[in-house]
Amino acid sequence: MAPTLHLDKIREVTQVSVGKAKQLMETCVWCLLSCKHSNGLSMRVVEGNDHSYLVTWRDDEIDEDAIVRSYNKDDATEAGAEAIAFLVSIDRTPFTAVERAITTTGIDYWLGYKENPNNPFERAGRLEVSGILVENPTNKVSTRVTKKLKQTEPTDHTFPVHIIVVEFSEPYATMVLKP
Amino acid sequence: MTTVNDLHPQAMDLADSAFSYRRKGDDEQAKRFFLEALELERQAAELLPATEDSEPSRSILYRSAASLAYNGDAFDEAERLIAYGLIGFPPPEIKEELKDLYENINFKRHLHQQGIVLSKNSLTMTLYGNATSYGGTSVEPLILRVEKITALFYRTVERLLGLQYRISGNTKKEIKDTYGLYVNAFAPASFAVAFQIGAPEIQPLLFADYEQERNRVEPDEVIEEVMKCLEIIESAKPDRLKERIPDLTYYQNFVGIAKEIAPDGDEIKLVGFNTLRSGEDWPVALRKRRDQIKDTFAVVEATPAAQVSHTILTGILTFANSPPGKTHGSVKLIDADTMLHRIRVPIALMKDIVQPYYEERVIVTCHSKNNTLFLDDIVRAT
Repeated sequence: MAPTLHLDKIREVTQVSVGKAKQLMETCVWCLLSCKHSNGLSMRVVEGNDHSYLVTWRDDEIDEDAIVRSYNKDDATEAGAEAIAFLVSIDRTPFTAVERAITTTGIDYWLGYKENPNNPFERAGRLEVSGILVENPTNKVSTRVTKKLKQTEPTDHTFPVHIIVVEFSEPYATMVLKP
Repeated sequence: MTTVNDLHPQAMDLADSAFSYRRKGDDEQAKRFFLEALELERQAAELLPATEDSEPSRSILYRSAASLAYNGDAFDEAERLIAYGLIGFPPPEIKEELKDLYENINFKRHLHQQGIVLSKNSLTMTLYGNATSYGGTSVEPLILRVEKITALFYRTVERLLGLQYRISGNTKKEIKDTYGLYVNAFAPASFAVAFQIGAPEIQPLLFADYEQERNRVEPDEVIEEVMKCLEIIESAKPDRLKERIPDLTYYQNFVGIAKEIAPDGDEIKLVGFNTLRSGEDWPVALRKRRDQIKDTFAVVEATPAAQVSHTILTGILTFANSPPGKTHGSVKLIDADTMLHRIRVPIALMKDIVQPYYEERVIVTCHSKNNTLFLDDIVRAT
């Protein structure tokens, strides 16, 4: 039986607020519904080999019509990819928490551990997420991964970088670790 | 006892709301939430002593708190928080990010304190880097960017008017008369230059002869479009730029010009723009370098990578041809061995990017496909 990514349990791994967790779930569901998928779909995660996951959500927490009206492609693809990336990275790495910090332009995400409440970024890695609603020849997951690898190429590289690019139409996600 | 994990997640939730308000255009609410988040994030950072054991959390929290202060326009507080972050033992990456943030604050502070008062339909461009000093800057990087902003501006006007991409010739006189771009003056005691858009008295009937009358745009819309596109360049979101500029030629042209304007490393580290939106400052700091823009915004062709090889050539640009109706023009380059190379160039890059280098020594990055060279990038050889 393939492991399951529970979109309704994002809060348990990320420490985000109830509202933010709901938004992440809804945007991800928006992306999946837009691509004609339904609850319980199968998603391939490529990390060296292929790994199969089921993606589920609680139907009683989702108002499909309201979701379709509430989001647009831009915001939903980005946040929806974050939802998948958080769940996949917690499942596929030793990390136990997704941490957030602020930059001048937005929020950056880190993978960390829950055990030290006063040093949440101890032994942490950066998490770089990108989403594509429907892959096409000029907008490919492999190209996004390559670009992310290039973008995270500082000379003094202290933290490992985990790159996850999510594609919603097939759907699949590629996960790359830059040590 | 209160821990970082008691305060920090609350701060992040407030910050998340602040960014959400900002996206909706409610800057006042956004600022309020940024400052509330700042208070909690600062308290979280202060829980950690400036020892190596506290890292990397301490410096990440201070960077985060300083970013919140920056977003809330609390520049003095942001500077203090950066200093506290640097006092500890930040990892090199975080140290670099704290320094970058300090430069961003300088840019914003400069706008606030140097008396650069923006009038309607105007924008300023400010350069930072080793080529600049207080009250002055080397001529070359400034003039180059003034020329490129001018090209970027008129291309944006033409695109918003719904005109077909202009392969050759100058911008039409009617457009220049209506959307005249004026360099007001080099702002006193600064290295900022101010552009004023629109002739002093705009004549509304100038567009009577245009079929594109229905597409007429106001000067402030042009500025907004330029600023939004530059913002997208900085945020490295090629899909958003493609949605904003669906015409591939205009897209390639915008990216090509943005690369020329972008910081080049140490000489110019940051190119800042500012304009007024709803009476409030709207700064955009461009710190992505041209090579980063090239990698992020490249138009990827559907050709297997194995069939493409890459070449770098140095030589004199001797010939340029932009045939109407074609997707590519061509240039010739004579290298040090007097060998002549013919290079095909996307038509979007011919007039504004490549032709200005005519008869100059340049370094050209190309890819080769079916024995034909295609231009990827061009820079002046030093």
